[in-house]
Amino acid sequence: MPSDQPPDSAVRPGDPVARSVERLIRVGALARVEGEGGLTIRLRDGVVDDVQLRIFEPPRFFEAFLRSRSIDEVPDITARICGICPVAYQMSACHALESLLDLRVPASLRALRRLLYCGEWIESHVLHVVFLHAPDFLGFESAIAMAQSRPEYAKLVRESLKLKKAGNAIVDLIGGRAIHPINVRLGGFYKSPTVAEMSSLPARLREVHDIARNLVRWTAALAFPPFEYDYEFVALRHDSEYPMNEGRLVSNRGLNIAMAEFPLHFEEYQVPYSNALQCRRRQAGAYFVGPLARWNLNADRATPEVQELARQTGISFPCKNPYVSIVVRSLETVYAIEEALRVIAEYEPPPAPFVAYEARAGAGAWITEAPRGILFHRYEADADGRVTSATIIPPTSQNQRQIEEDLIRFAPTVLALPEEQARWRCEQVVRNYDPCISCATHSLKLSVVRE
Amino acid sequence: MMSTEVPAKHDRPSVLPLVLGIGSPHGDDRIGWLAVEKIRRRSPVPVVAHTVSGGIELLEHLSDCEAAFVIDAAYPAGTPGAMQSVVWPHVAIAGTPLLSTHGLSLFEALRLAEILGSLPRHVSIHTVEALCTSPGDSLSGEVARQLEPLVDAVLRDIVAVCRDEQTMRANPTQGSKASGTLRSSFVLRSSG
Repeated sequence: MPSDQPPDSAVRPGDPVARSVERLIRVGALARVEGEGGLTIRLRDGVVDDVQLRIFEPPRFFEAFLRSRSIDEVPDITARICGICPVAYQMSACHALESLLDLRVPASLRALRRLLYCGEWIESHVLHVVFLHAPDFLGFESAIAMAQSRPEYAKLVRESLKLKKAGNAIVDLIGGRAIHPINVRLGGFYKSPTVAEMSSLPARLREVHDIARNLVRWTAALAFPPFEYDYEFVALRHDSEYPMNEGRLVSNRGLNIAMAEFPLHFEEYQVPYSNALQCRRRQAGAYFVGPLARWNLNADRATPEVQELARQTGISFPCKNPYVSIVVRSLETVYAIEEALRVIAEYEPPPAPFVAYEARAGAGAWITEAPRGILFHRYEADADGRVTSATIIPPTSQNQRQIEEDLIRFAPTVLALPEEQARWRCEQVVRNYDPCISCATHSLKLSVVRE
Repeated sequence: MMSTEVPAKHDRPSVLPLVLGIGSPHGDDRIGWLAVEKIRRRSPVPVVAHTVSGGIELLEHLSDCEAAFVIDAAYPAGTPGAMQSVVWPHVAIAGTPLLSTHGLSLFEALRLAEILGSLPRHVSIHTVEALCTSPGDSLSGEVARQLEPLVDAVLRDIVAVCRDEQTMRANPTQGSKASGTLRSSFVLRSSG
């Protein structure tokens, strides 16, 4: 539900600053966590004076909540941070704590984790591509208006639901249920699927493979605004695989570090207008994480079929246009289907669903590739297996500064447009990043204030 | 895995009433999930019941049934614990915002289902106004006290709809009339 109250940091009539403000573009937040997120762009004399993206960030709460809890509880607790990507939180948590415990899982469990991530990528990407992002490109205010306008768009939505359900089926089987999966634990899973259970998946995946391939072609034919920038793209890179759970952290500007070195090269900092910490590269600044960064740095790790599909789009990769993220999410959806089929074909049930461990004192850090970019977890625990320190840096807070910088460059280009258009175009810039404003906040209300 | 009475595979159409609890683990936002758990145990008629976290999952399930009963926490508006039951379409739901960065609202999901031709013949929505929905919040006393009345209201609704369905099937010549009654017999009810 909308909140009509201006955010605390918004400029109000009568404020000394407000008198000189020419225009304020504000995206106020609402929904289930009231007034905690939003966007304000302040323009003075036709020039962007300030951009403030405010995000309510549940991880900050969860970091405190995790202290003194058993390390066994961490995967399930952190999974509650986000209803869209709980698997990502479980994967980063498990790997970070297993690093702390010096625990290695066998290849069969590693493959199951990869399969689970494939399911989440499909679910998350299809939701964003078709229901949240595509309407922007076609000039519709929502997926409803899009589906209503033409039978072919209604068909697209219907097929996309089928595609997303294939992702649900994977998360349901491996994760124990399609939302808020409960089957993940330190060292593996509570229960591993039988070959017979696994055999239900390939037919469903093959059935939607063409839908996903067509989605790539369809998104590639959309009109992309000519908005490019020389971003620093940051993603994992693995020796042989398209990155999900493993790899080194690399960038197109020469970064190449072990995951645990993340705090040495990146830093969180507080901004006065948001309770979320922003993140930047030390001595560098904003950087870009997510599907476009992953693809730009790892396209050669995708299957030959997906690489060929990318070539057929005619888009030149590496690509510096954030709007093209919609195509890359579609490409990654096809990849996730093909990778899932490979993992299932090679599946042999593990000897045990998890590897046992003994508590020990120490620290461990890990990064995995959530659907919307790298997700960093670091934990310290005592000899009794109690968490003494937790740090969680989600992809949205890592992209936050980059989104603001995009808007600083973009806002002047829409000044001549009517207010509704200007607001809508600015929100599209934010939407390129598929931001998870919060696990519990689902919508934004736009409002423009003229001073 | 989340259902009772029948297997919960998403692509299995069902004539059984579908109960969907929308929510999250945060504070009063979990009321829909808690109600679903109780309805699974107490429903006098077989139902398919799921907990979901948002509109998109709701939309996925809607195509699988003929009658749906949605339970959700309503946005805090000064009367925590206030219950409402409405039948779609209803003006109380139409005000939900359309713009979104990260999901579909209840209104969007139901409207989209309508456009796609996958909306069940009957959809009722039962809400309890929340007091607190932030991470770490526990269930407020105001909302906790309404859990049993909420479950009772939904169960009464399910039974009434099932009875109407049976009447319609037993007397198909009055099918259209019965169907009309089904929708119009549910009016806004407020309590608490």
